[in-house]
Amino acid sequence: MRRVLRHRNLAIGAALSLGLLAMALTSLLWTPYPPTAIDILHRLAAPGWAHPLGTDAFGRDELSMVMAGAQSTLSVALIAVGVGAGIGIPLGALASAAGGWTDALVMRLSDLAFAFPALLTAVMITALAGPGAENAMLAIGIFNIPVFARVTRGAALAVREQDFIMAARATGRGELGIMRRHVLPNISAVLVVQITIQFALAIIADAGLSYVGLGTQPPFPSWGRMLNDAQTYIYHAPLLAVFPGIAITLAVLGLNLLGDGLRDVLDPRLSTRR
Amino acid sequence: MRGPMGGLVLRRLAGLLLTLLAASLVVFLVLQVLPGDPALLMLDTSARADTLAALRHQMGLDRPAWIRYLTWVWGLARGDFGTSYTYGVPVAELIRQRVLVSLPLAVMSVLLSTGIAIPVGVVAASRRGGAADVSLMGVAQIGVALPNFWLGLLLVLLFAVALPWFPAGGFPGWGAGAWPALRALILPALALALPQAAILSRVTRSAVLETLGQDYVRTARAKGLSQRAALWRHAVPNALIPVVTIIGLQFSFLLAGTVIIENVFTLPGLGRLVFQAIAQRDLIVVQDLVVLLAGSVIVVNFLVDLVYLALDPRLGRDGLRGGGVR
Repeated sequence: MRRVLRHRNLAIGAALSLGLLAMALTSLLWTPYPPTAIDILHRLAAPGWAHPLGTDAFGRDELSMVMAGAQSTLSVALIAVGVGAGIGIPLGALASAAGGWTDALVMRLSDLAFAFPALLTAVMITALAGPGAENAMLAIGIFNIPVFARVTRGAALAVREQDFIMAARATGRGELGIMRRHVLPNISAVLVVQITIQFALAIIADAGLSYVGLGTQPPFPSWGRMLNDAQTYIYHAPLLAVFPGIAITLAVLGLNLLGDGLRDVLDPRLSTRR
Repeated sequence: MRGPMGGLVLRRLAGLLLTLLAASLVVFLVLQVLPGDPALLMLDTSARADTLAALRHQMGLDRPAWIRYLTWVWGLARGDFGTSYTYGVPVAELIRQRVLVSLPLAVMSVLLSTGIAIPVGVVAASRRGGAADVSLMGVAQIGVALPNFWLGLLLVLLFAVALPWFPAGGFPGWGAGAWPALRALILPALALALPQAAILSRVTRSAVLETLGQDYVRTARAKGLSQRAALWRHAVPNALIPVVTIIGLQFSFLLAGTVIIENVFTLPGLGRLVFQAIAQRDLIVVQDLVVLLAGSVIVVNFLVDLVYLALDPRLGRDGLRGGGVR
């Protein structure tokens, strides 16, 4: 019974995540209206046939903006997690293989990074380095590095204690080869799950940054920015403050469910950890 | 505090100080690397070169970086946060005013989040697989996915626009009386607390499930304790260790969260101050605030470690910090 329930989570999560991806890809080719097209005569229109989700204060079509917003959110999250995983995983693997002071250094540095409230520091970095999607990617990515380093190190240490690693070493395989051929494939489940979790967190962080005006810059739409704009007109067009938020929540929910589901399927031992 | 325990605490304390120092160095270096000359921003770009130089000298910006760093850290150690470039008042004074908004907000959120999450988690665990468990955890799953600033907007829509029970933003100050001030903080505190409560209730549920399976709970039932008494007297207290850790870790999220939530509700707290200081390149204020917030995270984690040790002395040297939980 529980396993069926969990697999339902996986199915819902995969469906929502694919939906998000499909929305972003579709918006590259087609949106009902150009997402930046201003139509001042039909500003703040209620949802209806012409505009399924209504229009904003500039008469831009809300549905088109939500669709195009998926593009910026996905690209920011993708690069941010890519930076974090691309640097963090090798660092964690190095720490686990080298041990000693290398290990201690990597771990202390990641402790230090955890001390900084991530979003606050991301705000500081993007605000000073200049608002925009690229700096938002970097600022969020930096805080993904220690997460991946830690998770990789922990999982790799556990694998390295097992007999088959000893056997591989006895056959004369080098440390790098052992890491690539034996350790990383064995911890890939943990890493895939962590990637989906971090992806969800990156979407929330990106939304927060663009809400305060530091993420993707107008006129290109972003969900956070749309919510900020909507707040100005909250008495006139309350629904504008609802749709982009639903988009964020569904995207994050989808990735979280996907992560939980993958954890159960790929590595049942982990399922009780959180 | 003698013996291995006292030594452990002392070692942790030394580590705490080192981490604080390292954090201050990181903040200082990052602000050196990022663009933005405070003197130039105060004067604007048309200023003459010698005026700029004079102002830079007056602000101490022409001194070597390492001297500025040492001066700043030495000041911090003595409780002197320096003087704000733009306000011309001691930064400590600015912080003192703003803390009176952010700290109550953070405390209210932690209390709300804990107050909601522990009963929810315990109820869900005690009815494992039942309707209550499935629906509560379903709601929690959605709660985890809610960005707190959007939740803030929704609360404004519901309880300020549709039902005018609470203000949509602003802060009357504590001088206006405790109730108006608290009333202004309730919606932002809820917006911060609910997503955290969702995470915490899931942690509580799995922790209680784990302790419910332990022998001592079975023993308690066997000696005639009711299900309810065994749950609350034995299972729950023993489940609190991971819960306390997560509450500590959430503090960091919460502090960062206030930065955005204070913007949603236009509250004059530390978060708004950070924004203003960044916009005005008031670097000394930015530096102080980030170190202050990072410092409080470090101190809270240290205290959590101590609580941990007090709750379970077996946990001695290692394995206190769980990996990867953010």
